[in-house]
Amino acid sequence: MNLSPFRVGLIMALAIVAVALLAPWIAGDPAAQDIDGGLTVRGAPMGPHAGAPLGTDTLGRDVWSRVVAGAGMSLGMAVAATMMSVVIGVVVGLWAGYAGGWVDAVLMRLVDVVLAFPYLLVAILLAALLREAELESGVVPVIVTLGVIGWTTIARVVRARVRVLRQQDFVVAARASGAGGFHIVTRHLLRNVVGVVITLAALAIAQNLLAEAALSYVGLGPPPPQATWGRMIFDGQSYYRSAPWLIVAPGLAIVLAVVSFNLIAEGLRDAADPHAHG
Amino acid sequence: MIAFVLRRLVWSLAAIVLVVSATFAMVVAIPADPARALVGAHADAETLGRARAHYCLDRSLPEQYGCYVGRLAHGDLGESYRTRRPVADILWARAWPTVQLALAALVLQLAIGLPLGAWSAVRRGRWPDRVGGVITLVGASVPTFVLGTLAVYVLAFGAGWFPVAGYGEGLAGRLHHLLLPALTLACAGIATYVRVARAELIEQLAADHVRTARAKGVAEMSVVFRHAGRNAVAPLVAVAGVDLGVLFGGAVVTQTVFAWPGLGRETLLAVLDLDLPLILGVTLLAAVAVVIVNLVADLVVTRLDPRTDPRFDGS
Repeated sequence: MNLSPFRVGLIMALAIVAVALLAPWIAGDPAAQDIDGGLTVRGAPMGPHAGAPLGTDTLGRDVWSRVVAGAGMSLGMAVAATMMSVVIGVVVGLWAGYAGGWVDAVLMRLVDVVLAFPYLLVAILLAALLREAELESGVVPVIVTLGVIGWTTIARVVRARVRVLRQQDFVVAARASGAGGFHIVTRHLLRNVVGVVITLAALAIAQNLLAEAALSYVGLGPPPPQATWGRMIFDGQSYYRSAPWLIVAPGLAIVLAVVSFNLIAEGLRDAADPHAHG
Repeated sequence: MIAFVLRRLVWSLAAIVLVVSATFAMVVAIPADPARALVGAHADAETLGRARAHYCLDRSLPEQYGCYVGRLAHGDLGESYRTRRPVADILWARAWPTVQLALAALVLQLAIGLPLGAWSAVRRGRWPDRVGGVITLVGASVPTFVLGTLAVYVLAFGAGWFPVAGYGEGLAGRLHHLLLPALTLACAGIATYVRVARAELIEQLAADHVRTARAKGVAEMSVVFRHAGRNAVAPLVAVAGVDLGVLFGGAVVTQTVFAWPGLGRETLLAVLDLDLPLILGVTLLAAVAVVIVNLVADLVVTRLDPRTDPRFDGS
């Protein structure tokens, strides 16, 4: 079998999803502290050994179990946020592109303004505000934050595609045969942007994985004892000299997950645009 | 040209007005009472009333908005809840370190990303291209804080070549302290420049005028840099404009890892304390900076490549 980068990415992503789904069978309770067996006599975290393949953390918790639990958390949040961005981005893009005129101008200026705010700055601000509003402690503020920031690229690309598509014969023919705007947008235009949206969604998942890790790292992710990769690195970084496995394990997990979705996005882009193929 | 510059200026002004409005909406949306936060929980009614009057909180929403804009126009961004210092002063003190770090990162991105991208394009499909591809992928996939922590562990703590954190005294000390955070911050952007420079150059190298130049026997270096490279500059400037905004935003994590006294680290401290005036001040400043940088980048691109002038665009 030819191992193209796309296939490598897909296999890696499927493996991570499988690990996340199989968590109850292949890993223990991520929050369970083992004071007697999980810490050294002097109370320090233990390196990789038979009972804990990736070692234990400062509270005597199994790092492997936490990395596995983190896979579910991080992937789940990244995918949920991406779905939200896709819905907003596609609706705005289709609307602006098809309506044109002042609707298009207003929506695209809105995109400009959202883009003017530095991404992580706004993410931190929003996450803090949502958490303060106590909508729900946990994953919801993070998902909403990433979801409402990440739609701009999707909206721009979809709009650009629709501007081109709406001039084409099949759309003109549909309009001539009496199809309404809603019918044309949902039946004719939407189908023609699905491919590019899937590519952008794969990229957005990678981006959201990084952003979620960064938010968790600065303390705005789901609160402890929830295991997220960014939080694990934050908790472990003071011990990077004595217990490097505390940051190496979750760090590697983030990089693998992000690489896999970036590879998938790259493969999809190359497939859709053979011109850009290296 | 003048009409275009004017129209672009008006757009930028409109964007800044929208940014100001968005920050005002955030203030209104938050359930906290800024006057109460300013005077403290135990202040008497008269003091609270004065604070409310200062922030126009006792008036209607449109009047509050006018009040807010008026204060901004006078450079009054309010007072930090945490330190009791004027927000404008704090921003002013943090702006220069932020600019230094962002510019250093931009220089590194260009100095590393452009040659690598050009090399990948010229040696397309061969090992330089593959190396470039791997660097692009890794650069875009490693979180800043993992990279930063790793850099501190290996290069600062292990090898002892760089200070672990801090700002540094004097020019040499500043550069010594600046290099590691700048490299960390630059990493993701390097990947972008490799990708864009490679794609643009590959497209340009396939163009007719390049084939003509080659047929005439122009030296390969001259073909790549003078005939093809020149046309790839405009898109790169556009990318750099967007990129500077990313450098401001992404600097939150880098500045935290390296304890760099910039706006990003200040934001994080402000957010964790919910120091609202300071948060809004930073956001506002960063957004206005992005709008201005993009305006300049747009004007430069139009000057470099007249085809991007909207007057020649059919739409």
